[in-house]
Amino acid sequence: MKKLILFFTLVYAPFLSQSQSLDVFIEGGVDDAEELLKNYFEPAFLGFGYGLTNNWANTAKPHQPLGFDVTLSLSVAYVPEKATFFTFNPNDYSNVTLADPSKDQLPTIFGPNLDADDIPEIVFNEGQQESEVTFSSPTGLGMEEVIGFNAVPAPMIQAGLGLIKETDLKIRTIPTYTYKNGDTEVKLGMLGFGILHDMKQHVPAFAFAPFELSLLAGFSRISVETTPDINTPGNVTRLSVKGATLQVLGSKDFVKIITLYGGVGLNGAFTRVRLDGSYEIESSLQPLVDPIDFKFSNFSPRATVGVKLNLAIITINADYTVQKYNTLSMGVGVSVR
Amino acid sequence: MFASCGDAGIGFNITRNVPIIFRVAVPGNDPGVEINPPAFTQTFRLSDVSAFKDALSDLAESDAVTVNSVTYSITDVSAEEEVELDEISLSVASEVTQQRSVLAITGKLQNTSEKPAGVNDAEAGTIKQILTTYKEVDNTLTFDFAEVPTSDLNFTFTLYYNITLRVRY
Repeated sequence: MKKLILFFTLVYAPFLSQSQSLDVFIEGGVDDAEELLKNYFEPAFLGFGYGLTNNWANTAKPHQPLGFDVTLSLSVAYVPEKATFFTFNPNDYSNVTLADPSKDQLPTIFGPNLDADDIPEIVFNEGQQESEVTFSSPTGLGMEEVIGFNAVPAPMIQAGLGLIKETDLKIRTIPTYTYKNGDTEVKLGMLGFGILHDMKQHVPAFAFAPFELSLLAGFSRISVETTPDINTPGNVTRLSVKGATLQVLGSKDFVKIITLYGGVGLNGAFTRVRLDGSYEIESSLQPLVDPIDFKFSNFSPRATVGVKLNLAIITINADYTVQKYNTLSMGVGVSVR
Repeated sequence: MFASCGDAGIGFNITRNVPIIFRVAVPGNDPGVEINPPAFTQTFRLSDVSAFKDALSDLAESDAVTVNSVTYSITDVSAEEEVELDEISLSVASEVTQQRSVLAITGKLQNTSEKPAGVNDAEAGTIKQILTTYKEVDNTLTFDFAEVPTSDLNFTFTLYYNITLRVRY
């Protein structure tokens, strides 16, 4: 379990350590900082959120009462090419401008990894002699250059328990874990709940249909607290990402060892970012206290197709979901009754 | 601390036009009193600029500091104070280096909006070298008046360093 948590933390470390640069954004004021942050981190927010909405179920058939499953899974949300840059719209900002207005395509966190000399520069408080400062926009991390694509992975462990009335309760969690790297400290935790409920019992027309039909609802929340420098413990970045899904799920067993499943529904990704602590900036004599607190939400319809192998109590599944950030999910686990 | 997948790594270029303000007060002509004020020295530290503070510990490479330009302005000079100058000169030094002259202004003392100080590449290189090595530079301003002021002179001379820090992790 600890190794899994460590892996999970390391996977996200590039995003988390970027929070060290958050204070750079607030030179232009809080509102502008939030706009820049949203644009820069949006692919990560959405990838996190949509990744959390997957792999809740690999069959539409609920367990028998007290039947259960435990599944180790990995969902990979692919970041579309258009999300590797964002367009800087000057009308969205009050104290931030471009050094060269013709260079308005700025990398997002999933953009290419560029040297700062090759990235458009943004100017905070232009024309204000005492506080004007120019920064090169943050670079992307360049994930595509290394692995060939941009994606946000979401590994997790999930347990399902059969209740009465053809209903499963599903729980996914990672206990709060603290990871340290030099002076940086990261705390991470996750919790999610889901319900799978058979619908055939409520729809007489489907009572004898040769397939299973269920309704699935799931909600997950991952929280990450990053302290860039433990010597200033009050300066903390708090990231909360929630993923919610509602789906109609169908499945059919073939020769007992193969299950085809699929579903359609709606996903939502909700993010809250807070920058707590005290930050000195050029444009203010007084340090800014708890300067950033914004929320971000996004919704997408979804459609999933997948296959599961049932090898005695061992299950292996893979599915693909078409949504705003298409997602590939794989899982291996045990399932009893 | 910072992590990336690509070779370029994580970095920022931070540019500030930093003002260094000299408030000059020269007493009027009193018999037996030297008309030129003593030299004014101000130490500019990169750490004086909040945007630069966090970057300083990572400035190891010799090309991490760039002096893009040196400009100056003169303000608060009244009509009565427009006296002839032999020269206003600026020299820079660190604690352990000799002073090197990088600027000389001649003509009449008068209000001047920000303008290039005419610092050439070699002189800018001197400032860069001092800032890179010592993270601070002593700026000494010397006034040499060609005519004796008949009344007190009070004006502001502002020196601007336009500096880029290239921070790479």
